[in-house]
Amino acid sequence: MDEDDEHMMQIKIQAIKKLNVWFRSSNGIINRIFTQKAPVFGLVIVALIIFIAIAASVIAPNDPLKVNMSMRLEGPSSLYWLGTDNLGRCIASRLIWGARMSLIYSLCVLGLMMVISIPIGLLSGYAGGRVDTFIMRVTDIFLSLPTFLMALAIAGTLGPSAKNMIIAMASVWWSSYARIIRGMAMQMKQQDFILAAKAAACTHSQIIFRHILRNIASPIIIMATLEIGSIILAIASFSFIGLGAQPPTPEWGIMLSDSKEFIQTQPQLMIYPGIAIIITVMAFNLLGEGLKNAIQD
Amino acid sequence: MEVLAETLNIRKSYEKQNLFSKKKEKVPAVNGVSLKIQKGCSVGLVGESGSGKSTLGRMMAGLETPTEGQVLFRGQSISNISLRKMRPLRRNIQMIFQNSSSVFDPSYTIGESIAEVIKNSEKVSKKECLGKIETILEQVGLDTSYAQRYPKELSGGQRQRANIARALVLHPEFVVCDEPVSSLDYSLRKQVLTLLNDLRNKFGITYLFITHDLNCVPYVCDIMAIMYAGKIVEQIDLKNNSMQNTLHPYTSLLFSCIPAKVPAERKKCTIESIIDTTVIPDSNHCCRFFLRCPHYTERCINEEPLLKEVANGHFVACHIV
Amino acid sequence: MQYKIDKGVRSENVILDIRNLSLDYVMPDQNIHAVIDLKLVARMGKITALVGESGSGKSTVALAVMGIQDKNAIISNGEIYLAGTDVLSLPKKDKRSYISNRVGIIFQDPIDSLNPLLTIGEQLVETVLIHEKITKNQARTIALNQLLAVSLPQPEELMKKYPFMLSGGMCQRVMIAIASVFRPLLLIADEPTTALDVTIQAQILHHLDSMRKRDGTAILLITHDLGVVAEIADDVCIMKDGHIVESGTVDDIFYNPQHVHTRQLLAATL
Repeated sequence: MDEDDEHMMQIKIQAIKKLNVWFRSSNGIINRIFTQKAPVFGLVIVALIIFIAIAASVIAPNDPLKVNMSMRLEGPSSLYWLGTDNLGRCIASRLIWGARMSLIYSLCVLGLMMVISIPIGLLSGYAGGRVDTFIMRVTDIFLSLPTFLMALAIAGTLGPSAKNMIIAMASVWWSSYARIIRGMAMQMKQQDFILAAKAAACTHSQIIFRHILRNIASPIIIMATLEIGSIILAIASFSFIGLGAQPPTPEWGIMLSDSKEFIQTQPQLMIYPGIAIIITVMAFNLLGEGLKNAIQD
Repeated sequence: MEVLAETLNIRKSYEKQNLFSKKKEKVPAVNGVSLKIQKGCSVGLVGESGSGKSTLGRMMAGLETPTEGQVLFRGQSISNISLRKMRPLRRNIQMIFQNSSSVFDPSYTIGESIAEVIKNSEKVSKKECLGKIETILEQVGLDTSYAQRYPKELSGGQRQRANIARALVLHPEFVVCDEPVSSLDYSLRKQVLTLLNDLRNKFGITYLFITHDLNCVPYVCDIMAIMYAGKIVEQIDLKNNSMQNTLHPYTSLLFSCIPAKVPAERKKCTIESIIDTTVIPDSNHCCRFFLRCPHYTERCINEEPLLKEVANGHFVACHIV
Repeated sequence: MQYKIDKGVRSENVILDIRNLSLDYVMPDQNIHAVIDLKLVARMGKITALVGESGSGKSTVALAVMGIQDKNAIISNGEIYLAGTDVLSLPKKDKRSYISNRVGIIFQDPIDSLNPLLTIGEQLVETVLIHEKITKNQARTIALNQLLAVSLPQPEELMKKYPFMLSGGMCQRVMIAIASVFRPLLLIADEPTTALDVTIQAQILHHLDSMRKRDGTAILLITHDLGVVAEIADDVCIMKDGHIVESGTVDDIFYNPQHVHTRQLLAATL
């Protein structure tokens, strides 16, 4: 009986507050920590990584490319903070430079993806009708391709290099973005203020850029932040299998790949870049989640 | 008198896609309306929700394309022209929207939104533009500091005033008001209606005033048109005729449903005549109101009544009148 | 059990008696006094109108009576006697069933008040089953009668429909049917006709009127429309910024208003 009443109460509460009650009631301690502390933590780490990437040449104790065969597989010392790898290169320096490379590559991929997907998504969503149908069929084709294999194929045909990897990833991944942006644009197009903008004699381009794009900019930024993590992962994977950045570039994926022969004798060679990747990916994801929550409130 | 805006037998139907069949269902919203609006002679368009009055208003404001028929503004067709060709006409055709909370782009301040209207139609310096914004805000009774505020920082009444300010900043000749007061508290309605009326007298604006509240009509309008199921069923010139002189049974129904002004005027509810609005005969060869009409005859089922003039400036579409 | 009971209240056909109610919204930086020292009485078979502009706190009163005010709303003072018992003194466990067995509520936006995923029939039958221990078929019959009572056409068909297939007026009548299915002592109608056309408004008002005549339900009508008040209310309370500034019979308020705010409201009617 009590349970039934409670159920009815719930229906009533939902009716009063159009807000969803469930979000409120699930707002427990765990949630609160995650919605408040975690993004700040993520932000600090992201800032730190960006700082390291920018100041790599100053911070790094050694030249990341300098081979010193007499100092192979050394343990940590004051000169080599984390020791050396199988070619006597400074692991710490390679990690620091790796942060720079990872960030540069992932920003390139992200930028390229946005440059392709934002105009296409906006056009498709705003124009609607046949234009929309055509563009969406094309993106459907891209969406139906297995992303990673496709990127592999492109990188394989164009030859393995960092540039080709970036092109390959962007040319495959833009499609899902275009779809999401199209959806957001369509939703915006239905809003009353777009009709008001038409009544205010706005041109199509004014409506698209001043009103639609400006209002969907923040969700796009969130999406991008959340995506950086997986892009960094993907870049490391490509480099690991030898289709991305080429050795001796100091890149985390390459470091992993180089160290795989020593996994049993010298596991730390693999652990250091692994941890670097995990922390970076996690930090970007935390930041993205936090931004998402902040904007949704 | 000069005809400002005119519709020639316009129709608009929306297509409703059925989930399981390819056949698209056509839902008519406006079903053949010819309406002439003369300069300085504001028209009040009254109807229930779903009667197509908002659709008609948007078509007359050039924001929607009719399926059939034409909309003329000063003799020029505006129903089928592109956004670009429409631009120069915009300064004379404006619209006040119903829902003031969603008609302002949330990412711009009120001032920026109003400035957009000005800049799109006139070449003005920044200073002139600011001056215009301040003048119009004062005229609608808002402090000039509201120009720097974002829409969500304003209350409903203030936003509606800002909404009016944006539509009237260029002193347009013709303004479509789509339920401008229905989202406001009753205590604010009179203020806003008075404001609309003052601005009309000041700038010589002609309104198409869309409302579901008959009480609003005499405040701003010279002609009242009653719309039912996509058609105008009665049109009455309030200058020459009394508002109480209406003849169509639907209009009488609407009047009988207005709540009393004071307790002594309470009427014993005539609930029998109020049958559900959802039942509208889907035929063009009968009176669309006959199912709800207390006086219908066989002729109403077989023949569609047309608007005919019964007195000077008073048109009714009903067989029994 | 030691609930606060006031027997004297019962004898005068008083269903709801709010005494000196004060309610604050606790915000991080300040407390907002939404309701201040409010007194209000709703009698059996009478319609009491609570009139105020938006933001005057009138809906907060409704929520407080239902015991479903926001989490940050604190009732700092006062008693709410519902059928002779102060609901604020009831333990939380009993409070909900006590209130929901005696009070029905309808809201401004009827379409949002119905669960979009259940048919009208399912929602009605569910409500019947919550309040009475009967079989599903019996509940169905009650539900059908309930829909007929609010003069909805073709109730059999209607039971199978989903809320989005109905017009606003029909949804509001379904809400009345749901709210009145267990013959509540008190019906709270929070702006029941604001979103509706005049013709539908007349219908809804008619149903509210017949409900109080038929079942002797006390109705607390919350509105900002003085026309509705003039049409059906018996007693009127005018509310402004959390205070009741004037209360009296409908004739008192309309023909002999005392408070400035009441006069302003009356002057603003079209």
